[in-house]
Amino acid sequence: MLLASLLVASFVIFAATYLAPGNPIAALSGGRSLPASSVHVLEQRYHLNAPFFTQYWYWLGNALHGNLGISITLRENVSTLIASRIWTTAGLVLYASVLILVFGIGMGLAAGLRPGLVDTSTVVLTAISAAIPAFVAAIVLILVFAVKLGWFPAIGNGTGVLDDVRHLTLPALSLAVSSLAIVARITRAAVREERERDHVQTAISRGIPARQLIRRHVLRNAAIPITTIAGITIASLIAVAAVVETAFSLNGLGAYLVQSAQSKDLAVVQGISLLLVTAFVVVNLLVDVLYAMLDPRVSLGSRAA
Amino acid sequence: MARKNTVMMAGVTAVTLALAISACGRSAGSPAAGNVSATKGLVATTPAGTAAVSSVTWAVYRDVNSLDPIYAFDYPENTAVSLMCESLLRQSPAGSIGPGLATVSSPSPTQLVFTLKPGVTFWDGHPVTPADVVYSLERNTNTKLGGFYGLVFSRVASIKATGSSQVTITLKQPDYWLPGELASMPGVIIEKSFAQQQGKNYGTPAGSIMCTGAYKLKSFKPGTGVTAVANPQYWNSSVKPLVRAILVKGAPDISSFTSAMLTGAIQGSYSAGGIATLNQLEHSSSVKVYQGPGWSTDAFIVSSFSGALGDVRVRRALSLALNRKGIIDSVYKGAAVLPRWLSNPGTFGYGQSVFNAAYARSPVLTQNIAAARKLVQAAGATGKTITIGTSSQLSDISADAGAYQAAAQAIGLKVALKSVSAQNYINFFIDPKARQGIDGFLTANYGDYADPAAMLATLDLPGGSQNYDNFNDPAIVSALEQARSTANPGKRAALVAQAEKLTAQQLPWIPDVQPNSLLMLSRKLSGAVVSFAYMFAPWANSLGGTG
Amino acid sequence: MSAGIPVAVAEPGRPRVLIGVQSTGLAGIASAAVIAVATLVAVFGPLLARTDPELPNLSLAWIGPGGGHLLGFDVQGRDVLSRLLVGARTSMLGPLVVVIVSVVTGTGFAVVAAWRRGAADAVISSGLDILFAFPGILLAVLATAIFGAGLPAAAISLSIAYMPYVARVLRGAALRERSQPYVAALEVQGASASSICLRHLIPNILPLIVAQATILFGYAMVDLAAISFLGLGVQPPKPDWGVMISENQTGIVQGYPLPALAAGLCIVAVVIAFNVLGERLFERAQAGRG
Repeated sequence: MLLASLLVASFVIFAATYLAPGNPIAALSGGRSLPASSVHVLEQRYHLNAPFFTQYWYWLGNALHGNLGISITLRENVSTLIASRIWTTAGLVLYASVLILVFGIGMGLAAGLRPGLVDTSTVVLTAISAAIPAFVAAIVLILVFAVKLGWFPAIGNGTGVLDDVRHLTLPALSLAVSSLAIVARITRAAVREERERDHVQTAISRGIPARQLIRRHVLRNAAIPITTIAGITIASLIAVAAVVETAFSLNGLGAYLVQSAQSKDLAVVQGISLLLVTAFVVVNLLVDVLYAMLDPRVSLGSRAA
Repeated sequence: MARKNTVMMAGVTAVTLALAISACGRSAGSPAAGNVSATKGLVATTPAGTAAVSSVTWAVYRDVNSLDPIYAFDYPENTAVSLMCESLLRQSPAGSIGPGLATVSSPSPTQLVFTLKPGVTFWDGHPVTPADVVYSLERNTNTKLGGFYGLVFSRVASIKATGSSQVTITLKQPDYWLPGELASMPGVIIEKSFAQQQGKNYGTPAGSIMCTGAYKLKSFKPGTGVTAVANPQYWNSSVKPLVRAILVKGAPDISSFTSAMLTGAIQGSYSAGGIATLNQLEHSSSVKVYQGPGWSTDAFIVSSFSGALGDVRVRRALSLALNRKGIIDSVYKGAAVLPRWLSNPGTFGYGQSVFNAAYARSPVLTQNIAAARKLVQAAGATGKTITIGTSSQLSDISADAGAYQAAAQAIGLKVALKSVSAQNYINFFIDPKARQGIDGFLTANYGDYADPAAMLATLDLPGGSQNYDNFNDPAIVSALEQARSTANPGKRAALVAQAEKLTAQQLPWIPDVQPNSLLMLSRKLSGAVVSFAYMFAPWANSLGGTG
Repeated sequence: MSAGIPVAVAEPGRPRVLIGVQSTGLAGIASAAVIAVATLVAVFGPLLARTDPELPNLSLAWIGPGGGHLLGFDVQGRDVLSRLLVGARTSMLGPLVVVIVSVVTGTGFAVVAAWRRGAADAVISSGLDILFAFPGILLAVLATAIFGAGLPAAAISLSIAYMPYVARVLRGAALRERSQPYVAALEVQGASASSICLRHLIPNILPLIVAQATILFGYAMVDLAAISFLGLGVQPPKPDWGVMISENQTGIVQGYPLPALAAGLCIVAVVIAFNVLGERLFERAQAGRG
């Protein structure tokens, strides 16, 4: 199913060349005047004189081999351009995912298991931060932590691994803020629901130690919706990363995708889109697998969310 | 329980609002500029560095897209090429033209004889030969390559190797501009055999380059930047590069750039336009800002005379209505001056007494909205629309466009903005398709060497590389063409001054302000050239630590 | 939030997801008030603005609040409050379009799938599943590269990206409705499929549709503001809250954070309000159901 999604997605991405107003050459050149030699190169490279589906086949085949075409502004292979930026984005998404899992699930657990002040403040905090878009979080974090406090650098990639992590902290935090809230909420709701279940209540009245209960019953069952929402949220990070990368001037795929869209460098847009959609599908696949492992009643592919 | 939630939410909201309101702006009386005065402390160079440094990151306003000198006509490419490559003749930071890879003599007004200095070699150790010189120069006029500088060779009859280390250029008419051009990008010498082997890949990320400078290319990766390393075999043994590696990297976002300079992630940069955060940089303990005489001009290029701007009265009105002080304060933070001419007085590289006198006699361009409005009415242009090309991603271009928008609307014109991405802004300059539908666009423009005529030629002469709609004023053309054939610097200056005066009346381009050349350098470093000559000649040969 | 996680999923056996605060009158009233104000401003904004929001004056750049200009001036010397008031229009209109298009088409697909069941349902569900692979922002970026930057392209692409979520939620509800006894009774009486759907089925799931639409509005607002922030939606110098954040971001480093923060605050306030209201409506829709 997900593979079918991928195939259709790749088709749509490819068809973009034809959806653009004007002919494919105009689309690939982004409306620039090109010398005749470049036009010829484009025609050869993209097999523009072949029938539509043959072209799609060539494009897809090339893509699977890592050949994603040429950037019209830089006259460089798209794959090379992607390779130099992919680690920034991957690092950012990974860092943000860790923050979401640790703090999101952590806060949700704390709120779900301990009603009272912890719970109330979590509810309020998550209600607010769920509504904060990543780029608003970005400017607030820049203002507070980079400008006023000077704890973190306000932009750019770092040099070397440790410095990279320092540079990615504020961006990862911006990316994680609203997703964190959602995950915390779901965790809290799931944990509470499980706690109120009959068999848990019975066990409590029978005097079984709380910790054992929590581990064996509450968490185990709550893990399913938590995994689902965590998976969906992390997959969505792939796209929102573009906004955060732009706000922090990070040299990542997302920011580059946006710049290429603005410069109408269609080959780059297609290449990166394909990569991002694939990543999205793969993450969703992993969540499916995890879900199936956690819930033996479920067979692969039938996850309804 | 629920009430607590609401109270807490209200509390958080109140705190946020308080934070936001307290984040006030500047008060109305204070100027946006810092203590950056336009005339104080203008220098052409900085004291040479003394200590070795392992690496320096140098910022340019966008990523370098080519290292081929024939395609280098913008700040990032020039900065990268001038770092590593050298031309036949060389411009000094003060603007005078002297020997570069060769010395020049002129046995007759129509002959230039270049004698290569002994021992000049490329990075690979091969000596620079006359064949390399001829090849490099002729690449400029090869229409298949589509280089930018073809027109500067318009008076050249032939370029020939005339000795084991000698090249002779024979001219159809005397051309006193050519030496200046040969001290700039058109005169950069590359290795013929290497370039032929590279073919189309020369100067692109897919290929490499072969030059003669004290820094040589290590890698050219889009997204990462251009890395140059010290050349231990540099042919001029009196120059010892102190920096092991220099990375030239694109930093289009001003906030990012500023933070990086303040934290030391970027150690140096020249400004390609206004620097909005100049105050912070000036007052920082980690950065020093140097200002030198500017060679560039902030201007509005009129790219189409078929619209409302075709009438010179409308152009004059727009110029009269422009709030130049606002631009100096808000875009340049004080580091620019009001213009009298199109060219920046920093470009008076010769005939200074003549130029200065003529300049002083010309009126400063001030604001007079009432008079401007009358001109528009007289021209019958009230209510007409002008379309300005701009880029919302380039903050100073965008601010300048805003200033023109305000000016136009104040005098009864309507304005439409056509905005493109930062990457694509360059297309306005090179692609007629990009210029379709606009009446003009902004630029921070400059000539190839320290002569007002260098820039004027590109826009005033028919076929000039920046003459976009066949502007042709016979008086201006004749003054410039004559200047080009005039040996005597004083007389040449007088002719060029005349061309400037007329250009300021006809306004094919409208001058905005004249920026000083700005170098922002980490306090731990010294030795970079400050003046605009950095665009055309090596700027890091004396760069090193201050330790 | 670009995978568009309107997680008001409510299928039996799964935890209900409540994103907002718990039921009180006060929070609900506050939200309604914010939304009302925002809507009024969106409609009457240009009349309320005292100064031209688009006329630059560089001499006034970054000046703080004072002298009738409550929020000071922005990067190009324009009055921030005026720009916020006028910008409310695109900031609210864009999401409205997205919500209307995605809800109408989503409802359509959901009802058809639920009514016909069998092969039609399978085809539609598969189609929707495939659409899930496209995060909204990615689709918007693609649309920009093809059709050029601007609000229409962005709004349409977001509508396409959101539609599967609406359809998924409503399909479940429509299926439940369809299996209600009254539907069978109507069929027996000879009522046509379209009349049953239009007159009975859809009105019965309407509370859920409205709740979903309200929550979706918040997400659409965030996504569209993000797209404009990236320079792919509303174009500067048009006032729009997302654009204002992008334009004035440089002020933060220079010590003039107010313009950017003000725009950000507007977005957050309206989104919270829609979230809270949507929650409220959702609860009512759940409670209303048997």
